[in-house]
Amino acid sequence: MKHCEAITFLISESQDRSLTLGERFRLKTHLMMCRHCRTYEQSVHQIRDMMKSYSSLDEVSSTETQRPDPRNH
Amino acid sequence: MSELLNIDFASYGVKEHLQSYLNEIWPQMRLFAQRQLRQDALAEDLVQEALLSAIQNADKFKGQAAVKTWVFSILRRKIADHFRKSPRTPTDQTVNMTDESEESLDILFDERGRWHPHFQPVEWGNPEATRVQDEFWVTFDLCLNELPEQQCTTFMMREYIGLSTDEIVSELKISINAVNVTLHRARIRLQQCLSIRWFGEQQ
Ligand SMILES: [Zn+2]
Repeated sequence: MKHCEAITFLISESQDRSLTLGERFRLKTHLMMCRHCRTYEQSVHQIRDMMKSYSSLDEVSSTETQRPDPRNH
Repeated sequence: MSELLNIDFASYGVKEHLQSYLNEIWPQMRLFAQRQLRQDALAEDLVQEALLSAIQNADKFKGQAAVKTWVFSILRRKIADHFRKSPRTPTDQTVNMTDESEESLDILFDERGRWHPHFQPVEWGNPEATRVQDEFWVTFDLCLNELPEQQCTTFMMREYIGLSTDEIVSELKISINAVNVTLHRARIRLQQCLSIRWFGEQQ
């Protein structure tokens, strides 16, 4: 098994779908042993938060023009 | 309203609903560019260029979400090009994350699939504090723009527009596995880019 490389892929997938029980177990046990992947997982979560702030920066701008948000359609 | 943009949409054969949608998102693009560049005339020019190159390819895009992703990714690219040319662009030669070769991620891991010592993730300290700084968003933009085009578009569809991976599959007409792999690559590149360009400098 390719350890960290495969785990980083699983970490990414966990952002887009719910992992199976087996996948979650594999992820958890690896993270308990590997601090690099733990740090990586944290960063992936932080990137998602950053993207939220980033898109709300654009929303702040767009409210100034009183424009309906096309994302609601 | 089109005259604000100085673009004669009709002469480019742009359909009416797309014209009005571009007119709708144009002020948002301008504000976005102004915030990045802090030079209004330059911002105006880059928005104009981005819109022009968008409408020349407009027939490829069906949904509005795809159009928005498309024009904003062109605009971001143009802004990044500008930053690259200007002397205050941060440069780093340790890793070339702009390499379009999809296989270049292999360098992050050794032959057994473990993190290569040089690329092991570093703690990011306090990201909340950095997020209130304007300069952070310039760096963030730069890292987004350095993603290969397909990765940038896919990642923005997922994280900026908020589409599910299934929706991206039908929008881009690629397999779910391709979407997952592309998102994974985008995330790991962003993590490396931000570590080098922002969090690395702080330590
Ligand atoms: Zn690991």
